[in-house]
Amino acid sequence: MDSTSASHFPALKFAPLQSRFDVQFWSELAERKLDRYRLSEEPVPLHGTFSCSRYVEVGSQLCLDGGSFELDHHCSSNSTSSAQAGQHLVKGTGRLYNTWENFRDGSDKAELLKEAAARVWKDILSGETESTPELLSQFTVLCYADLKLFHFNYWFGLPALKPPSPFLTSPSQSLEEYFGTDASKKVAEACDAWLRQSPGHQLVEQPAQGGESTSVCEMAASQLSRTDVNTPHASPFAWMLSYCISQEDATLPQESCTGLPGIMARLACQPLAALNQLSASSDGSTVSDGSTVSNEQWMLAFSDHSSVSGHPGWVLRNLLLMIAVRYPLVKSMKVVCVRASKTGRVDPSRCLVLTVQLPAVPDGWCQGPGEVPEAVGWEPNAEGRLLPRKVDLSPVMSPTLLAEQAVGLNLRLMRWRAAPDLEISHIANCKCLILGAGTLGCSVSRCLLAWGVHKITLVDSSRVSYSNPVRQWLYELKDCTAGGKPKAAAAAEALLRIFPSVNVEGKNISIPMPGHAPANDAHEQSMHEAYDSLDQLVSEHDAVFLLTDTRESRWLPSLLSAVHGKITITAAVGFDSYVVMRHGTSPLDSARTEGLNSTHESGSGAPSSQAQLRRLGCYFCNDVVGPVNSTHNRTLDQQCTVARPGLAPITSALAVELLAALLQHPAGIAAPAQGSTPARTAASASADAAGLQGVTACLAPITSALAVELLAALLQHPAGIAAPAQGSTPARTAASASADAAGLQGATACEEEPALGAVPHMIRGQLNGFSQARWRP
Amino acid sequence: MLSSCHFERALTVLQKRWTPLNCSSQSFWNLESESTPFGNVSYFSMKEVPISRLCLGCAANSTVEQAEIIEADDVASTKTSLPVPAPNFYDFHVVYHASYQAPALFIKGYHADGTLLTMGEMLLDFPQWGDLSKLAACEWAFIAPEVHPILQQNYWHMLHPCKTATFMTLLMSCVGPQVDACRDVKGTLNGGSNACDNVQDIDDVEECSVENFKKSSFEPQSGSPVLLPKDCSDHFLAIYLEGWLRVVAPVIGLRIPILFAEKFN
Repeated sequence: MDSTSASHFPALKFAPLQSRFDVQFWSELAERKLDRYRLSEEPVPLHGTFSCSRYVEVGSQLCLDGGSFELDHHCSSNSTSSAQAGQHLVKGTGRLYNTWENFRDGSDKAELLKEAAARVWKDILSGETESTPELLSQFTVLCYADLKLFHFNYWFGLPALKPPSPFLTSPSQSLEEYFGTDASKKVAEACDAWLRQSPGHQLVEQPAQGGESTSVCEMAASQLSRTDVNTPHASPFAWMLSYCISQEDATLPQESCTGLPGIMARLACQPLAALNQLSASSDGSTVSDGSTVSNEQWMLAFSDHSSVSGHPGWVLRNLLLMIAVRYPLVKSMKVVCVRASKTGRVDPSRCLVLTVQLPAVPDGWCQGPGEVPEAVGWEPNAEGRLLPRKVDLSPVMSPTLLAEQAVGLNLRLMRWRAAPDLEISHIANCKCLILGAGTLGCSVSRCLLAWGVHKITLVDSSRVSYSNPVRQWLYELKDCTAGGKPKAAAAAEALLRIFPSVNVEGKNISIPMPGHAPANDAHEQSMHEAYDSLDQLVSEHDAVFLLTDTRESRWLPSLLSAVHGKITITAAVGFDSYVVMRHGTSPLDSARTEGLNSTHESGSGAPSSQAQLRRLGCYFCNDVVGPVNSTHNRTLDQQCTVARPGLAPITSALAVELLAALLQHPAGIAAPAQGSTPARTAASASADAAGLQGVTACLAPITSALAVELLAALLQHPAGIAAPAQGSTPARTAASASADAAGLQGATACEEEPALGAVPHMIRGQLNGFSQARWRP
Repeated sequence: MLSSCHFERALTVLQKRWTPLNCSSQSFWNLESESTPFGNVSYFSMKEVPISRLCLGCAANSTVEQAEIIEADDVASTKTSLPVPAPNFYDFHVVYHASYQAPALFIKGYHADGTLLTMGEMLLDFPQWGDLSKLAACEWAFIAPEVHPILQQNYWHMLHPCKTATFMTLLMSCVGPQVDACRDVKGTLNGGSNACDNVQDIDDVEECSVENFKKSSFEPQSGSPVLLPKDCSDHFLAIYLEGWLRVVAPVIGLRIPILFAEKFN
């Protein structure tokens, strides 16, 4: 190529090497920052890998993963994959800033890149890059990790040193066009072998001929093994390709020709250090100068990450500059940009051949102390602007978000098979007010969490006492000390510990009760305040659970929720009996009731029975005892709630499942009572109540509570383990089989279970007592 | 059902068979192993499979609080622009699932810059996932987030293996000669003293009809898959795993070249 035409050549443009930071990189970084680096902002050695481009659509990237921090044994167990054949190792440094401010303006970005460039420049001048080409692509990563939010701000830079004047290039050709189909295949195979070489593999494909070549080989071998010490599996990304043009009177023996038809022989890949050889052998004449008949041809080959046609990858920039600086006699260079096909094999039709005119480098250019060529190479962000990037890894690293996702997933899984029509959101979005944070309140709120309910408010006026934690599942011993924490607040804290995404509040309110007259004016004042806040709370929520320990404390909330038309569910336990019921719509809510007439036609059609169906009574309508002070004149065991421990979980779970069933019903609070009719029809009505097989989710507490009560019953039986089976009447055999031994009629829950498929008004049940009489035949 | 030893053997056998088929390690299932507290565990992996689609905004956001810096490049724009709709990448792993005693497909999707794809973004790349989970006929094809059992990374998705053992039983029952081969081997078993003792009769495999398979979704007892005998042949295991790969491959838009099967059948 003569110099006149060279001036018409366009400047060569390069496709940048994009970075890819695997999630594992960030989690490793977070771990190291916390445990090892801590406050240190010292540069951290890193490495990444890249391979030649395999896809037309996208170039390959520089990948950093969890193994990127381990320089010494990066090929250890977990990164055998990352260092597989065909991948090249690139080293760099990471700077981890302690503050966002330091990251943003702590240091001049241009200066930082220059520092990285200076390292490359030093290695170029020392000749180090020829034996270890990866030193040409030393990258730098700036990072600020916000480990509380799991946000990672980072900026990747791969410095390219600016040559004195641009690299010029001839129009590119594909390898196939350049060598012809057959020869190009041979070249591709040779490159493939280079890329896939394993440690100790014979580099030069063909035995060397003559003294000079042998020395090249030895040099190659020695240099390769030197490289191997650090990079066991990665071959250098740049190498030299040599071949001979065979002539008629070739002195070469036929066997040594690698089978190329005529034009090429002694094809070989050699380490980059063979550049040395090139300048010596060409003796000042440029190798690619067509006018010089040179037997031996040399080409520079490199693993090209770019997929852009006509444009080589970024890593070629420093490589070319190195040649220009170190071998000023070489004026132009033939470059093979090695690219592969989808299969990972070098593809001659994708490989580019460029003839690059190297710029003349003045003597002593940038070689003074501290002098470094200007450098560019900060990676632009996703919008193409020169700004840092930011990764938000909270979805995979924040325990709170992980829990939220997992809980949501569990609920959605119900829809796959068990209950495809289940509307999870109806339940999750239901704002629940829990009055009474005792045994029932604790169980109910935990069951609500399991249903994904996000808004829970607990009301209680007492403090946690020493007998509470074993039965009341949200408290621990430490809540009892120093007079005990207020129950509502302690329960709210516990719920937050269990599921931080829940929106929970604990209100210390003493519910005004009939029969408990105010002691004085101040007390009366506080009762008014309690009324106001209670009224406010009921109006703000969608469902109210009445779970207080006395009958009369449920009176005011029953009225309030009737006034506000809220779903109300009452649950209560005796020693071995329980009741779970929902209140019907209030008489005020006639509009709702009217609407119901058209959608739900009852069987009889008689207006009176319809009205009866609609108007479900409340806790007090269904009880003959009026609300009075029930704590007055009672012995200690009558005052405290004395109940079989397994009963409360059963009752609470049924209460929550009743709410779930009700929320699935199209009529909501106005759903007609079902399950009071024969059990089986109620079960078939469950289609109407939207696939409530899903309710099994919260039946786990029931099952486990039954298991405990079964053990308790068994231990009370005189025969112990040998207790004869009871309760296995034909009707309930399957259910009672579990309750097999000892008078625990599993039927307590089972009797009502079909009714749960619908939305019954009331569920009553009783565990069989520990009566000795029962055990006698 | 497979034991973990079966699975590891199947991996090695398949890997050996595929190696000579001139397929580069990068572009196909690649045997990898990871050391865990329970020893080395192997799995198949296929890395960086690009799925070309319109990239709806990459997850990496710019931080607006900072002034953009300016790099004066030597020649006007030496940087050529990259193709704008960068494809998304996927890593696929075939891992043994101890609970389901079957192979399980793990999926990790990410943008070109390494940030993870959301389930929504993955659904755009694989519209068939959405359809599959709706189709009652394909009730095995559920994809859900799951912790990678070997790498212990929580950002993988799994093709749920709850039905794998069942459909593999059905599938293998169509492979007559191979089952025979398996039974022959079993005939040589003389009451070993290991966990394989409670293996049901291999004839069950053949009895598993389509009807049984359908029924099995409701009655787990009837068509329940049997654990393969410990000594079943390499060939059988290879067919098992390859068959499984063929069944799941469409889910991730892959196709196993037909030549893999032809070569050995």
